[in-house]
Amino acid sequence: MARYLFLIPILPFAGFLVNGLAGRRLPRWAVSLVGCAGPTAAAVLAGLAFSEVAAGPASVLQASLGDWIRAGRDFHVPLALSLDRLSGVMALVVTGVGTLIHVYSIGYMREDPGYARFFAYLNLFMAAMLVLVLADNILLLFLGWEGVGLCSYLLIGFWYKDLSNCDAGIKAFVVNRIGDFGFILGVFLIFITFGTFELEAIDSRAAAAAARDPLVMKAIALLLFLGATGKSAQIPLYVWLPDAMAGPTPVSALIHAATMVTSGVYLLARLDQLFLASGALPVVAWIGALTALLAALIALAQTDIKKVLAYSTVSQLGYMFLACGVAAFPVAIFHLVTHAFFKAVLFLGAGAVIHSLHHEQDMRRMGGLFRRIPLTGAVFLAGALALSGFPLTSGFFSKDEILHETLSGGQGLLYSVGLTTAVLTAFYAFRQFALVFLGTYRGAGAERGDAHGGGHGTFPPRSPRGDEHTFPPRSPRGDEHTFPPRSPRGDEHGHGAHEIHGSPPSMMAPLAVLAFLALCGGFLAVPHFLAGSGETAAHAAAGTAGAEGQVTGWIVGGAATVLGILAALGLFVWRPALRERIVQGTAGGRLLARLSLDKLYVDELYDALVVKPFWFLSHVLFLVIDRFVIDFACVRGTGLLARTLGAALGRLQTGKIPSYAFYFVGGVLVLMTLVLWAAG
Amino acid sequence: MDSSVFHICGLLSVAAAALVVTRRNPVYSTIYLVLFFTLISLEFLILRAPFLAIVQVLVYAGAIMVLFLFVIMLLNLTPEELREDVSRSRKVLSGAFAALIFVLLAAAIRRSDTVRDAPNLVAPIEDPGLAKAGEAPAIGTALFTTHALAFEFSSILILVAIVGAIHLTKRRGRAAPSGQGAPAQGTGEQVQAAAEASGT
Amino acid sequence: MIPHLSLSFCLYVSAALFAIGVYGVLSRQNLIVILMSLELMLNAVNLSTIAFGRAFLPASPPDPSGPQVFVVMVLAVAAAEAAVGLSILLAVFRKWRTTHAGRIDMLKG
Repeated sequence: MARYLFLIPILPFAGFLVNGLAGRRLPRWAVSLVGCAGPTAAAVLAGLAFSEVAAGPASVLQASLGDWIRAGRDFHVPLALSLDRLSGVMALVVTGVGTLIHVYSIGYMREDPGYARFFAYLNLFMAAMLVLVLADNILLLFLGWEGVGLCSYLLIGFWYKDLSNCDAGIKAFVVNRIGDFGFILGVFLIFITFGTFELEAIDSRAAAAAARDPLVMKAIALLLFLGATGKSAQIPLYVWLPDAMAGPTPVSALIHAATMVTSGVYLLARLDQLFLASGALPVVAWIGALTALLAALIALAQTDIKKVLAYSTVSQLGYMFLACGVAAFPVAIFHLVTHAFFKAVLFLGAGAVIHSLHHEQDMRRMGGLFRRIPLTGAVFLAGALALSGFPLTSGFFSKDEILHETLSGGQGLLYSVGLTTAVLTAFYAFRQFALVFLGTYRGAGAERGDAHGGGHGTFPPRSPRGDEHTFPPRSPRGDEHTFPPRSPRGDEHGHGAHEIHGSPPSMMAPLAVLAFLALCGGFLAVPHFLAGSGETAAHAAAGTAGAEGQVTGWIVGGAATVLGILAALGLFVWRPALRERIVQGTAGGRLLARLSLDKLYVDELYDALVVKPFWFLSHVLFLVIDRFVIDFACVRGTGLLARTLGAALGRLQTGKIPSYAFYFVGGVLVLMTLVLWAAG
Repeated sequence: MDSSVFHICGLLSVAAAALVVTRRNPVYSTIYLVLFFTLISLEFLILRAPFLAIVQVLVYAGAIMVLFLFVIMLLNLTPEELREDVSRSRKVLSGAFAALIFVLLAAAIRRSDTVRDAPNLVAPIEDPGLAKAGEAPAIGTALFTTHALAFEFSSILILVAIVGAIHLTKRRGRAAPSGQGAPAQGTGEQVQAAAEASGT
Repeated sequence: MIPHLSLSFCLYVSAALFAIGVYGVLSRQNLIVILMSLELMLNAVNLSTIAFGRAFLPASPPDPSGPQVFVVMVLAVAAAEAAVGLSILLAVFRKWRTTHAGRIDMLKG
């Protein structure tokens, strides 16, 4: 099996080559076939490899294609892959969820002119992500790391004709670059400290190195963590992820929820010994917890259906880092897996809703959809339940495991932050569900008065400012105007007579599978399975032995979830008037609503602290260096110098013999003087 | 006696040269130039170069100066055209340059130990072979043996000069405007003849 | 009194003649006179060559006639130069009807 390990990333890559080079000329069914065959085959291979690894307690599959980089005597990087339990789980998630999303995309992107390009990008992303997951050394991991960043950029700006999409892509790329800068510095430090790039070797020597030089180890851990915050959208680098929703919805599901953004968590879990030894874990835990809380707060009042999910992704990733921060790496991976399931369901379900409503994304123009598209509503409900952590769903187990590990790690404060976030999570998940599927329909087909009546749906119901800026959908994003796949159907019906239609089977089948996984994935014993590889046996033992603590945790967590759900349903379905009173009537409510809707002004803060000064500096440099030094002094200066000199010297060329004779004799005089002077 | 003759000849040749460059009419310049060449020829004689002294008179005073005179007569320049109107500043600058060159050369001469320690130029020469070094047989022998190559090159040079002179002065196809063409007529042949004469 | 002629006197005369030639080239406008001044300079050089040859005659047994042969070559070159120079002068005169150096300004690009 190890011999075929390389096929796992190569098969999607082959799909990328075929679709990328020849996709325009292939018929649509061939593009779909090629696009889905690679990931499917990769998934099958990953499954086979995984079953082989799962059989033995510590077996690892390894494959090498020889040296990738060789320089000098002791610098060589092999082109090697390895699959152990951790990377096996990751590979399964990536290929499994990825394949389902590929199938889903067949239906979702059906009318898009860039169909082949889309599948080419998706396949390239799969290949890069699998390289990241399976890499045997950190440089190869970095190759995949950058590859997924590239694909993220390409797919966010997939509808490149709209400038705001391109801006979002560039924002993602630049913000990721900041993290990658930290990452690569960390890699340099690793090579200096350990003299190798191999992940296993680094991990096993980390403790000794930390004893020798704790400061360097802390620096390595924090630099790598900076890279992880960039890729996994944590404070302070999370700002790109919500904007990344500019991409097509399957992309949001695949890249910005299920797989790519988890690579930071994977990095920490991969180098768990290094992070344990470095002593940087409290930072990780606090960043994770704060991100979880902050993103949940912002998610409360968002009106774009995908933005809510984006912030919830940030929040859930915060949970994973919290788990890493309390040294419960297997639990983090567990949450990663369940999150991949339920967030994929939510995104794909949201995509189905958007699809059904002809690319309407504003939740204030939805409502009551459960009756029109019940199947979509059901899977969305499954996802929302799992996200909230409703008892016995997948999210319930993984989230409670995290909270339990936090508490048993003695981090009471972190635990309370986590628990608060859990309530908020349940609240915003069901606020979203209520806005989209319950109540009455407020979309283009509904009566106008209904849309305004009672301010259904908007959490702060249209403050004067909100009215101006947020409705028609916030800002230059203007999704409804620009969403390109102007389906012929949508055009036929024009405005006002939108027919709400269901989604094709190619979209519903993956949704059903994922919904099932979201509900039941919690029974996968991922942490114990991972702990079986021997690394965190203590935690696994604690997890099983402390059963009575676990049960209390389940009760508390379940209660928090139910509280959040009930609050959301109460405020948005049963008693809208009460919500009005809270938001409008109390200062705290107003402040919270405003802060949440405007995303806590983090973008504005970054704009003032980073973008504006940088822009100013660039402008100054532009004026001084480019305009003056380059343009004026160098470019025009040389020309000017030559012209002035030419004009001056040209006057010497009179064309008359006597003047030339004078120059000649003058030269002779100079030469004679020089010769005499030189002779002494 | 040789020595005093040389001193007088030297000073006279400087004076003749000065007259050559200061005469307005080129005919006078030519006359003084003939005088100058003759004086130089005398100096060559005193410096034991009798062959060169003869050639100097024959070639320079005889052939080249005749050529100059031919041309001057041919052009038949009016006094109007002979006026030069050289500005004072240019004259001063030319003088300064010339003086500078003289000063620099004189400085070089003064400084040279070789020149200072050189023997008397009119001292008798004991060796009979060396005494005849400047006579025709010795120079002829040297030209056709030791310096044969340079001699052949000089003959090529003169050939090229002849061809060039013919080419430059030949009348091409169309006739010159009447009245002006007349004085210029026949110059090509004359120059040719003169060049041939100087070459031999 | 023993008759004496020093090499330096010959050289000073030569230098003076050369300088006068330079003055003539620089200060005169008439092309014919400029050519004559060139002849002056050539003769000044010839004179110094012969003087050197005479001064070091006792010390140059292998080729005692060398300096004089050199001067013969200079004479040949001077003759060629005079022939070509005067031809050019004639061609110039035919074209511009002048021998005035300052009035001809074609020697530029």
